[in-house]
Amino acid sequence: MRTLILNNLKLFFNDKKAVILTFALPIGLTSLFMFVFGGTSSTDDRGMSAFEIGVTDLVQNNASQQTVTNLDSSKSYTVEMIQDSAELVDKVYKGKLDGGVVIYEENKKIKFTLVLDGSKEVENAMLKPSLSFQLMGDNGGMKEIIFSKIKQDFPDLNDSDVVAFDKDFKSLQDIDFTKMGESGLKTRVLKPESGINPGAIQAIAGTALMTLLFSVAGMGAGIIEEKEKGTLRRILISPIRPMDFMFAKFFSSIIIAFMQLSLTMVFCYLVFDFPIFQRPIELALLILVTAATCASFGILLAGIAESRKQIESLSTIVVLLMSLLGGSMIPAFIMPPLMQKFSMITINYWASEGFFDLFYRDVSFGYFAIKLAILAGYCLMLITISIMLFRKKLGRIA
Amino acid sequence: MLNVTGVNKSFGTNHVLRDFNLHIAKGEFYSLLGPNGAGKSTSINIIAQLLRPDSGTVEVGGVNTLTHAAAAKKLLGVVPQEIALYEDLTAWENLLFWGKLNAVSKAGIAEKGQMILERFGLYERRNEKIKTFSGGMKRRINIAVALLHEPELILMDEPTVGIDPQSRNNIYEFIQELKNQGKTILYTTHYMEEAERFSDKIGIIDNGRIIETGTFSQIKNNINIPDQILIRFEGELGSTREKFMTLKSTNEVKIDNDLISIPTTSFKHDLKDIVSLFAESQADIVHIEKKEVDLETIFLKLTGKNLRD
Repeated sequence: MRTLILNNLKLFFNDKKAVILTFALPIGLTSLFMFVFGGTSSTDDRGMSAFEIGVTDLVQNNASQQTVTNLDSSKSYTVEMIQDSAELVDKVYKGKLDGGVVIYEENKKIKFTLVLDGSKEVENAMLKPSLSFQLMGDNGGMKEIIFSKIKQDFPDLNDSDVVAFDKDFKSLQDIDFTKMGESGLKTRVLKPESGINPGAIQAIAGTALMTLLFSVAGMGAGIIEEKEKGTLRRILISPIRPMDFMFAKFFSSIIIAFMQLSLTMVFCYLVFDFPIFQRPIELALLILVTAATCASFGILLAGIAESRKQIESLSTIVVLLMSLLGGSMIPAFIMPPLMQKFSMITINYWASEGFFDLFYRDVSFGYFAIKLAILAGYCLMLITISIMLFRKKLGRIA
Repeated sequence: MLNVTGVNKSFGTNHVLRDFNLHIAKGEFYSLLGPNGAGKSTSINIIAQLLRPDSGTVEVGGVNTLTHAAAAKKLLGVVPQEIALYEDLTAWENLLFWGKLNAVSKAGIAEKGQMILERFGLYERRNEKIKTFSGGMKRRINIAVALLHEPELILMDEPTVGIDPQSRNNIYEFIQELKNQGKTILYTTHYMEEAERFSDKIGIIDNGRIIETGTFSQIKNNINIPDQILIRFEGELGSTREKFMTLKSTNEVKIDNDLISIPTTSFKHDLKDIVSLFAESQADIVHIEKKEVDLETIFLKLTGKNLRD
């Protein structure tokens, strides 16, 4: 096994073009996306949007309950009621919800705090104005609620009178809805203390993973090449267990993938000051598990494909599809809800979540370990399927 | 050294090997010949343990390949038909890799590798990548890596296919040396001259079983094909044409333009008759020769196919 692994590595490093493509391409693309997302420095109001929101109603009066009902009936949101505002903040911060609204009372006035996940910049840009309008506007918002109350109290007024009345009416100062439009809505964007730009994490987690998947697919193609050139047949004739060949390819792919991701990280640290030493052990674990999962994906492709042409076509389609669904190319929230569910079946999604956990959310190890476990589960599943495929494939080599 | 007994192998409904038996004694050079689809590759793959037989046993050096696969593999050296080398590694790196894979020590590889490469005239080029080598040089390295672990049984699957005559001769010399050293070799080829040149025994396989085996003389005697007298002539045979045709039983004598082919079991006697007939005719003998039965003819007679079909 050791001899096979060393030989695989030697073959890889003898191929200068492969080495350059494996290590330079991800660095180049990651750098490009880093620049596109504005480097690691944090800026405000980058905004992303989403639709699953949590609501904590601390007021519990008719107006606040009507607001919640209106939010819930809107097609734009799925509302989860949460008793404790701290719990709501935690859920948004960990990415379980796309945003949140805390309804509270201050000086006898109903006010709102929007809770947004700073890592979802583009999403926030859609969510914030949407919620602002929904909460404060005249289409199911506070304005409409007050209009309804005025019309209820003064049934003889027509709508145009109410609009005029709205501007000048002084007797409802205890509600002060006009001021609410200016100051009644606060926004709290959740960001890490490091102030890192989530775009930088997106660049690494997205781009580096996509290029890594292409690299491991190329390593999978190496297996097919060995079959076509006859070296695989010769290896199987030697006194080793047939499956040693597959595992040697798997482990050498992990080593190369680990090096590729690590080198990209180090490059980003040196050039973009990306904080890779923030949680080095967890980062190393994440790189290792991601490398293993991606390597198992490459092995699986080699187990499915029968020729180099097949693996090239298959890998292009599958990697692009996974990258698209998993948010490597475009943020997943832009996609329809069903597609967003699909994104959770991709390696890219869970690895990206792991990177965000480490560098942005700075969550506990236990919470981060869930992502590791999911990736490891993927790896185990893919390699198990690969073993079954290779048992059949190696039996047909003759 | 090799005992293949009662082996059967099917792929779906295609019964490729039927009660296949092959026995090669230690030090024997055995050529396995067969037309395409006869079961030759399947039998080789079963011996090399790339395939499992449906039934039957295979023993290499007394070791059962099915129950003691790794031990049996150590006794086996396979020279595959294709150039199974890493083109981006040097000749020496290839030797090191394949040697280690066959559990040869680094010192063993260095000693044996140097010896074989020197023998092949490639030692000076050991640090050059395989992809820079000619086809013949690659073939020689292909053989070298199979011999590093000094196998008891060498399986050579068309080791000279597609190379220039000079390289082929070089390999022939090496094969002869292996034979002289008393190595046991199972050889497959499409070149009859190779089989005739080296073989102690020949086996002809068709429809999944060995249909004839033995030394060349034994096979020749077994199938009883007469030698041929070939006479090239010029001029008209005239009425003697009929007399030529009746020299032997019906359809055995063939006259094709200026060539007469006559089967013979008694060359001197038949030659006398032929010369007499020519004296009667208006034709003159240009060339006359006795063509002994060759393996190609035997193969054709046994299988109904040419070897390269």
